[in-house]
Order: sequence, then structure tokens, then C-alpha cells
Amino acid sequence: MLRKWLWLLPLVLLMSGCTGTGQSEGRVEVRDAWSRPVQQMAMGQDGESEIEMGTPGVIFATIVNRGDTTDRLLRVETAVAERAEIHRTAFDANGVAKMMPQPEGVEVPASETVPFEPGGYHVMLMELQRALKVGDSFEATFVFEKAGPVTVTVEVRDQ
Amino acid sequence: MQHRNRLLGGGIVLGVLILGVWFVIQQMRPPVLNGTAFDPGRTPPDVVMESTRGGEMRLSDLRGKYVVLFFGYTHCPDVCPTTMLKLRNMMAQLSPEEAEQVQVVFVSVDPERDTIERLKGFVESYNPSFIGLRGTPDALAQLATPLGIYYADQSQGETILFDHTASVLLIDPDGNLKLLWAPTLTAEEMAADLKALLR
Repeated sequence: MLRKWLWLLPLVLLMSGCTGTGQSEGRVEVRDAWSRPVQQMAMGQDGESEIEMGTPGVIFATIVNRGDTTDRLLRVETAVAERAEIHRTAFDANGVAKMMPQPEGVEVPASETVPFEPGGYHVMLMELQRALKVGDSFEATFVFEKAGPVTVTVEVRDQ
Repeated sequence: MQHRNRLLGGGIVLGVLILGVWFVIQQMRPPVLNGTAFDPGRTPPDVVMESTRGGEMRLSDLRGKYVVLFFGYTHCPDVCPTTMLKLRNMMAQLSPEEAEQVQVVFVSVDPERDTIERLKGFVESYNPSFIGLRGTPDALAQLATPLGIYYADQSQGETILFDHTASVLLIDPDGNLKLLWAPTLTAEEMAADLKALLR
């Protein structure tokens, strides 16, 4: 009985392999996208309380350009935040962390991997629309100059 | 035969003695630490700030404990959450007895936006034992500047951004500056330093 459907197995495996990794024409991949928890806080007292987010949100991921031409990440879009900006953290010799917005986006050279990781490139999510809890996930679209939009699932992790 | 036994016995006694002396020397030697040591006798300025535990607090109120001091702001997207997670993981590696002797303190470099409620929610989300301090801009400068802590508001429009020192400071139970932990150190390395100092 099962043998009848065995031919579907490669297809299913292929589809499951795509989970969590966004691809566009196979040239640019966004792998292992993750975020950190952000809690909501009730601010103010006596009925004047207002809901505020504890911190901005963040997205880290690994961008892989398998193509033979340089591409550029232009912006990131997600429904969980009002605004998403691409930033880079850099440390100077005195241990001072400088946060540098990247309004021109980030170049992803041909056949190279650009990590978005703590202490480096990251996507800053401002005015989050909801709290992010460990185990939650949400969608984000990384828009590239040449490869176009690549949508991935971002996992909220405690790391 | 008796002579041989005596020689063997003497050898064992000598071996035990050498091991004992080596052990004592190891115990007396200052531990090799991952952090960078401060010149002895430097103390942080004793400045009054508002505490997330309620009321006012000075660092000298925490004498008797190792104080782990970090300066940041709650709207920080990357460095502060990364460091706070590291400090949480560092505390998790200490035994309850060791953790009892360590106090993590987060000082806001953005007292204007970081209300005490906001600060409390932020620090306690990492570990309920963590304390947040919020001072006036003058009090903040009085504390941070002599410690070599730099901070500058670089906010652009609605995007709140600060440049700030990402190193963590360790103050000993007598209130002296003990170590500077660079941002590259791991939770394991910082916990190892605390364990060595608490031994």
C-alpha cells in the first residue's frame, strides 16, 4: 500500500529541505534566520498604563550568494515590526561598540557568505507589533538587488 | 633487603613531600584570569543613583560582594542583549553559594528614555537578581567617565542608537576595581574568573 506512494518521497524530502531556508532562483540563500525574545511591558501606573516593548527586535541569519555576480541586500520587510533597518555593530580598540546603520544595504559578493550575527551585521526591528517568545516564529523577506525577495521563517531563540 | 625497603619508604615520603609543597605553591599563586587586571587600589566613584530595587543606591552599598558592572541602554538591539545573555549564562555556571557572592549591575547610559520601570523590566527579564541603576546625566558622567566608560547618543530620527563601551567591569568585595572583561570574552571565561577569585 505504502509502496504506491513511495515515488512522492523525494519530492517531500526536497520540500522539507527548504523549510527555514529562503531561496531565490537558487542564487542567494538566507539560512538559519533567528531572533531573540522581546517582552511587552506595561508602563505607567493607575490606569495610565501603556504597553511598551522591552527592547527592539533583531534578526540574525546567514546570507549565501551561490551566483557568480555580486548582489546586494537592499532591505528587510516583516509584518512584526513597523520598521526594519540593517545595522552593523563595530568595536573600536577601546571596546566601544558603535552601531552603524547601513542605508545602502549590504553587499553580498559572488560565491561568498555574509553572516548576520551578534556583534556584527543585524536587522533591527523597531516598533514591534507583538511580543516575541522563545519558540515563536515569524516571516521576514530579505530583498536583494538582483535576486529579488527571499522570504524566510525567523525562529525566536534564547541565545 | 631491609636497606632496599628503607630506601623505598624514603622515596615515597620524599615524593609525598614534593607533591605537598607543589600543591601549596599552586594554592598561593594568584590565579591566571581571563580579564585584564586594574592597578590595585582603584575604586569607582561613589555616586547616588535610582535603583530598580526601589529607592537610591550607591555601589558602596554592595560591599561584600563581587559587583559585575555593565553600562548600556534598553533600546539597544545587539550589544546589550548579547552581554546581558552572557551575564545570565555566567551566573548560571556559578554554584548557588558562589552566585550569592556576585551582584550584576546594569547602569543606563540613556536615563532620559530608560525610566526605572523600563529598566526594571529589562534587567529582570535576564535574571531577577540583576539590578538596574539610573542616575541624572551628571551622576552618570561622574560614575562612568573616571571608569573609562564612553557613551554618546547617536540617535537618528526615531532610531535610538548609542555608541558605548561594551566591556564589563568587575569590582571586588572591598569596592576596588578588579578586572575589565573585554566584549570578546565568553560567559564561561567570565565565570571561570569569578570561580577562581571566590576560591
